[in-house]
Amino acid sequence: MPAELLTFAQLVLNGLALGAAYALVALGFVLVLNATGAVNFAQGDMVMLGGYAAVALARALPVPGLLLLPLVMAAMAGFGLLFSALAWRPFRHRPPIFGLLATVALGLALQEAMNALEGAGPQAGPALLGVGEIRLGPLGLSRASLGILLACLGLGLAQGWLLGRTQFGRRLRASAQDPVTARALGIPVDRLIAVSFMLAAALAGAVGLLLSGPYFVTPTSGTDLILRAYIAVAIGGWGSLRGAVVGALLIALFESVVAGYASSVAATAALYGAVLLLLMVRPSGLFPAPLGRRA
Amino acid sequence: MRLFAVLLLTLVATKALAEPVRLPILVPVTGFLSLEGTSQRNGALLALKQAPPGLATGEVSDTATAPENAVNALLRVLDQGPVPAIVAPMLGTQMLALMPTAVEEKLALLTVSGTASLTERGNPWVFRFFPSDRLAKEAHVRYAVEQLGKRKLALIYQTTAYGQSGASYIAASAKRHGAELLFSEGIDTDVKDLAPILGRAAASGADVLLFHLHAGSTALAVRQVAALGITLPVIAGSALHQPATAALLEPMELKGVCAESGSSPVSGGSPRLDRFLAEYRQAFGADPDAYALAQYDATQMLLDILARGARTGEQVRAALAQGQWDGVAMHYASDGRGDMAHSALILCYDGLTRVPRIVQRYDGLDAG
Amino acid sequence: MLRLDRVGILRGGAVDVDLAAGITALLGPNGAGKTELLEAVMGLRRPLAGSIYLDGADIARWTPERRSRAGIGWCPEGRRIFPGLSVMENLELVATVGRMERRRRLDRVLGYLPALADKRGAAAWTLSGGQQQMLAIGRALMTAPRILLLDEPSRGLAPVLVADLFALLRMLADDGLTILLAEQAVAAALNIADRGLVLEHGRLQASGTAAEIRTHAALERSLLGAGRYS
Repeated sequence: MPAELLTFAQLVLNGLALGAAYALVALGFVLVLNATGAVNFAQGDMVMLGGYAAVALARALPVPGLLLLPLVMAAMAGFGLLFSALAWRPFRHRPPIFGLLATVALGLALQEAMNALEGAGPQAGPALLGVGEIRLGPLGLSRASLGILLACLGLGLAQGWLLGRTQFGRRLRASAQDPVTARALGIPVDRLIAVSFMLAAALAGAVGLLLSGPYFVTPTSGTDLILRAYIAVAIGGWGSLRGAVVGALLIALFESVVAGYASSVAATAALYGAVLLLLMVRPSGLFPAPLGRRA
Repeated sequence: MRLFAVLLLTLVATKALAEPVRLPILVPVTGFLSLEGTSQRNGALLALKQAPPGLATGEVSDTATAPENAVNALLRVLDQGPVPAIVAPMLGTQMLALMPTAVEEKLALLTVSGTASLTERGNPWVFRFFPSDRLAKEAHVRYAVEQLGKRKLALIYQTTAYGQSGASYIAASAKRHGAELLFSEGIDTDVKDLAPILGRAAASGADVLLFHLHAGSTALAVRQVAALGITLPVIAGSALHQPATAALLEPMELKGVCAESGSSPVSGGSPRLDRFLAEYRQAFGADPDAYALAQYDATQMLLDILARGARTGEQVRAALAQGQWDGVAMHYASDGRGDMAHSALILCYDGLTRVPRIVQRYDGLDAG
Repeated sequence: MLRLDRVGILRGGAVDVDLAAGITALLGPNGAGKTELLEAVMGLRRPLAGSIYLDGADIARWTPERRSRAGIGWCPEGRRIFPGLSVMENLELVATVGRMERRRRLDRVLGYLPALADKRGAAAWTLSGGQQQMLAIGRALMTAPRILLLDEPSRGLAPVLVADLFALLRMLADDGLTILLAEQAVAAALNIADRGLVLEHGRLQASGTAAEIRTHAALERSLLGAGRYS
């Protein structure tokens, strides 16, 4: 393979790995969006919290990250329940902006809390499956990136199946579209929503653990993630799972490739420019979804 | 009657001397500089703890990140009465915001901020106990050019105020020393994949890689250099010397990497330094960095001045400006503009531990 | 079965009803409180006063979910199908039962509504108005109700579709379902209804068999005047 092509292939591979990380954040965002129609701006901060949970657990239990994964997910699921009680339940009969602001506020509170508890400096979480590189022919991929790619694939498919093929998923989508009618048809809407917050938080826990190893965790690391995830959901089609994943991968590929040939600053500027352009040309995103509302 | 007045005056004066001096410690304990701000606070508190009893009491206020937070914190301090000096935040923008108030209220600002321009504004109340970025970057470049013999430099810097000013000092310093800056590019703090920029830096024909980045980006860059198999020597900025930054990386990933810093307390080296290290660890349960040590030295110098009877801002300012201090990290004396520190170190990691070795010391950096 | 005891819907009125088997048409002009009454029964609206009893139990504190499980079916005004879901998903999602029972109910519902069987996979929003109404009824039937509350099912439908719709309701009633049908298509509704209630300003103006209501003066006053005796 010629050198330029090889460089390009490596850039694409790195971009995909990072895009998978963004996609995992977007998945949790879409889950809550599908369940409640609510925009959960704290999803990134929940990922951050999951990262710190992983750091704390790894301090106490020096075992591979894979073994800590279920613990982090369970702890975060519990937090998700608390989160829905604080940020969603009190505002469910108010206009959506209330819920949105509540998630922003709670997210900021989490950032400040973690800053007070752990400080602003980055901390490294446990590696999922050891450290080091895996060679794919002439290309290299870190074990951490491979883990993120696999997790994105696995969790993405699992969530697609859950939302699209199960009774739980059907009911969740129905509840989001018309909670009043869903209730009158015997669907336990509140419980479904609580469960979806738990699932989204457990997902955030998994993502937090996965990212805390290779990319570290800081109290503000969720902010960078939610911004990318939000853009991914917006360009992917509001609420579309497939769109969110494709959107996230595109964002990261775009960033990696532009940064590889122009500059990193140009990549960020070009990304936002491209997003603006896309939303002008195709306002409903790449995969228009049933949820017409945007926030 | 006259006797009574003299008595009263003496009483007031003794009381004033007997009352501990308030030493406000205005540092960013939260926000993006909280790690460094906490070091500042700890250094100051440790010095206070070791001071003669009743000399001074510390009052810690968090300045977080916004300049107005620092100003408000200072105004709240001054509501309780005047103070001769404060431990001032290491965040450059907060320092700039505090400087006019310091002039008005006549109080000395003791900081460890690296922002070079602080001492270039003719403000007589600023005292910096840390090598300014201008000096630090001089050491950074001189090590590459003089010790490693590299003349083709590649620089990756952060697109923050800290990063951009550092980049301009590196460029100027490279020019002075006859080195060529073949590659120079900024990255945002939220960039996680540095492979593209590292790849281009390595392909630029440079023979040494300089980083001037914050802690998180520094660790990511060092890690990805190792992962990508880039063999160019790496000299990082002072962020890497912080024990918390090195802790993010495997010792293996640090092998051969060097960094610039004002000091490296964890590396030890002198009995005074070892004692400071032990006392700091005991008091705070953490490893000190160069900021902690610099603020410790600064606070000790201030406490010494207070112990000699200085009470007003003007007295303290004069003593700081004219005095000298043999600190734990280095020898401090003002250059006439408030820059007290004139030395910097280069540290390198051997790949076996996270404690760096001091490989080069530059003194009198601003002499030339 | 279902009994309303002085249920206040609008200010100053109260309704007493003891719902009988078969179809009961709930008539009255716009704003008479028909929708509000149905919503109160479903638990979507708290009545101003009075009590609602199901099989003798006061259900005031029951959630809509619980009322649904207890056998009250809901077919709301404007259909309110779940537009982003397929026809099949709209039907299946409401059954809180095991897979076998769901299958059995689905077969039964599609037996009543063969047109929906051909549209299984279609997104619900692509259906015509008449099909959407059938889907809304089918969806309600999937909860296996004893009592079905229908709010203005004929609105917006062509007359030929209204006839089909009402024929279906009659068939369901003959198979043992109790139906409370709020309607403005008075004549058509009374043609299939067993009994009628006339509501005005939240107050019951008349109640009786369909034949009695048809000739009742109150009905003429309230509906003829409004020019709606179609």
